[in-house]
Amino acid sequence: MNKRRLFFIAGTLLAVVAICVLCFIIGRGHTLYLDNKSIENTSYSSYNAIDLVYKGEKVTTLAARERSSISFTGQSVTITLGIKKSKSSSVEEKTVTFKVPYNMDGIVINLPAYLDGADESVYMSEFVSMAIVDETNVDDEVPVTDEFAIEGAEEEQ
Amino acid sequence: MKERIKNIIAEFGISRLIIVGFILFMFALAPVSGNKISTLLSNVANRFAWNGLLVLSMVPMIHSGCGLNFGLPLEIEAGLLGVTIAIEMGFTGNEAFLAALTIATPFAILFGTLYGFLLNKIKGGEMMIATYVGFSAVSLMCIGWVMLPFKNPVIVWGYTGKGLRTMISIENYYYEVLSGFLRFKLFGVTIPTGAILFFALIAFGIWAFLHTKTGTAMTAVGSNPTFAKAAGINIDRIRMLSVILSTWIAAIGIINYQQGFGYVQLYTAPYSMAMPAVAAILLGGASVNKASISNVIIGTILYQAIVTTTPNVINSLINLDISDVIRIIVSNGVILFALTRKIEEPKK
Amino acid sequence: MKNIIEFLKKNIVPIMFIIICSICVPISGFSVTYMINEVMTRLTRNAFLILSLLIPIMAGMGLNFGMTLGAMAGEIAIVLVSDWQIWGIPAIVLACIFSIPISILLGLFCGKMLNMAKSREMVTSYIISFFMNGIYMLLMLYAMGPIIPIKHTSIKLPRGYGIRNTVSMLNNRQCIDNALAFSVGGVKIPVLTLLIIAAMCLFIIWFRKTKLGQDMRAVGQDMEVARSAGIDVEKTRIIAMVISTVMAGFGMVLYVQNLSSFSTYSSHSNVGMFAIAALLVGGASVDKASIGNVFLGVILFHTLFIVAPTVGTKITGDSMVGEYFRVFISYAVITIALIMYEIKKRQQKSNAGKLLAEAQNKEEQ
Repeated sequence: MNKRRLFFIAGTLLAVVAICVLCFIIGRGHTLYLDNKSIENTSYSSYNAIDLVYKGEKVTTLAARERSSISFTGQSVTITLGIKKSKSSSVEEKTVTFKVPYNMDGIVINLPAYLDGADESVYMSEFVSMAIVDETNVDDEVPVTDEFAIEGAEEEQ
Repeated sequence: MKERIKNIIAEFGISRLIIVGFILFMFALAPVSGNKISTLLSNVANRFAWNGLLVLSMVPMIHSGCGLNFGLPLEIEAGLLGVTIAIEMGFTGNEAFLAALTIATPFAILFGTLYGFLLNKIKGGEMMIATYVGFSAVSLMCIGWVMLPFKNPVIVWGYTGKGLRTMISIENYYYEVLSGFLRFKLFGVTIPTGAILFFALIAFGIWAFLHTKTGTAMTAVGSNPTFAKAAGINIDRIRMLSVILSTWIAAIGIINYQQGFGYVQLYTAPYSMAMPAVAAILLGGASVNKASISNVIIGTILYQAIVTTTPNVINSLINLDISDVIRIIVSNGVILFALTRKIEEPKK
Repeated sequence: MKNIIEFLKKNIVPIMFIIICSICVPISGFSVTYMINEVMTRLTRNAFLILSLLIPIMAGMGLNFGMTLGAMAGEIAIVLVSDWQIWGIPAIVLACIFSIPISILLGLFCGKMLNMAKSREMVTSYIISFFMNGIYMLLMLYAMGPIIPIKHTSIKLPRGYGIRNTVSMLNNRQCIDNALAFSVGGVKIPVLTLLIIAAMCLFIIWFRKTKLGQDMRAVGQDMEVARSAGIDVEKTRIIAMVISTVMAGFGMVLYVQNLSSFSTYSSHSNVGMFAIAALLVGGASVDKASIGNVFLGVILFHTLFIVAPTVGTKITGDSMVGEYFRVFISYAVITIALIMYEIKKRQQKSNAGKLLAEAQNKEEQ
């Protein structure tokens, strides 16, 4: 009986850990920033236009030198691209899948470099927030530690 | 000899010894952290003078067996009414202080009577209900402060002309009327003589009262209700009296607090006043059903020493402002400690 | 006739609330759809939290003011999950799982303390909630950052450590509410949340019938009798606290996913107070509460909550009055319920005394 109980507890714990791991993997949120830009000092130059379709819905059309973003959870993302290389060429559809590194919140993908077959280190980079200026401005947030924070007790939407 | 030391320690309580040790340690650290010990002591003396009466107001109710008075916010409202009405009536300067005391008294008696009546109905469940009676009173008075027809521009919001301000400065009224009286410096420590005398006067009054016939009856009601009943004491009347007395001390206590602090705080401010007062008297060695004047004095000094010294020292040592957190943890920790001790059961 | 008076006396709080609501709702001028929508939202937001109060009541420990401890555990878990950038339903599941060990620890602490303060459980659990709030603030303000790593500046205070006043879970906004949701005549029905709440109700009903549940009820009725029947009273009471705290933790996670943000340093206290008030409004008392009380309470209490500010403004011309009024109502309801409970207890005691005296008289004759 005791053995069975131990077995049961161990099993439950194992299951919980498994669920945790699963949640960590499928729930990790990332933001993918898709660029249609030229990279300096390389042969990769921007395309005329790229349509972005994510989960069957059109996100936007990237003109040259534009950026758009998609938020998703999990470790890879599949997007359908409608590629128009130059003004005269016709639209070519292509479905691509990016595997993203776990520890990056925001990932920048340079689409022209990717489509022209560049190395991952070239087309993929970590997104660095430009909001540093912003931070010094909000420096005066003081935590409110009022025990009886009665005013505005329940939030209004 | 060893026995005697043991006895003294037992009497003083190990927990209190630890706290005293902690405070001494903080004072020892003070010079290292760049704080002057005299400034810290002045702070404690000042805070003691502000808070002493609020803590003292616990005593009559504990004596009559009403438990720790978590209903202090209700009693404070009586004092606040006294102050605001005194200012509204146009009293200024030190007269306003006397006027506030005078006007607060009938309110204190009224509130005390109602509160005492209620507490007599629910013997045994006083503490929890007192807490919520206090809160209800404060939230009701919040509505009151908005709605009551006060007109004096000093206390009413300027732009709407309606509803009282949350903070009223008493700079031009009775700021430091007591604390400033006969104030002197001893080794750099400022002693607010007037306020301490005021406290001593009322504390002596309570002490004397507790030794009158009614006073001993009150103690009897608290420590041994069965005996009190057999002796023909009207328990309900005595309890009622203790609550009224308590309310009155709290009402003048808050006015005394304001004269030192410099502001009248309305609306939600009274919510957080019960816990420090309860914690202080428990720290002084009182229990849920036993308290004396010396408990009040020791407790208030210890409590104020902790909550004013510790944050100062820690702040200058490691640059962290944790005064709020320390206050919350200490006061509630002390109350929790007292509540989880076994109460000495009254002999039956 | 006597029955009617008895009924009115027993249900005075809900009846008062029904009357107040039926006056206030028309004055507020809100449309029916709006009202139903709002009440539905608040029902799904709060019901789980309130359900967590039932088990300690069953074990005779009164209203568990210590449920804020569970709420704190939930909040800590949410902060961590937000910082790890887990989104959507996995985030909710993960937050629930991570809240469990914290809740269990806090529940054990609370249970142990309450065992040392029998017959003063409520005031003690109330003080515990404040004491723990201090510890929680210590953790959130000073330990989050230097000791527990927090990466994202959207959560961390600009000074480099400590958590901001509000933590938002925008990426998880109502992800459970929206799953399987559908709309009936403009009213959104969050099916999954309702299913979770229903499962919780079933759990409580089932739990009452288990051996442990029966023990708890015995302990709640009379500790001494239960002890002589061989029940480990202390352990049973601790288990009741732990279950309640864990449930409150889950409830808080559900609450936050619905609101999509919470105020780090005050949400848990408010949640505790409003949950207890709502339960009492539903007609529960300190020693007796049912699932029906929970739902009636949420609906009545939050109906008043929705309309109070508007009604207050309309009647008095001041927007703060309604705000204060609803806080007053919450406190007043708790006060009245506590008073009624104490009076009832005294009556029972004196009745028992009378019976005893009569029996003695008979014996003497």
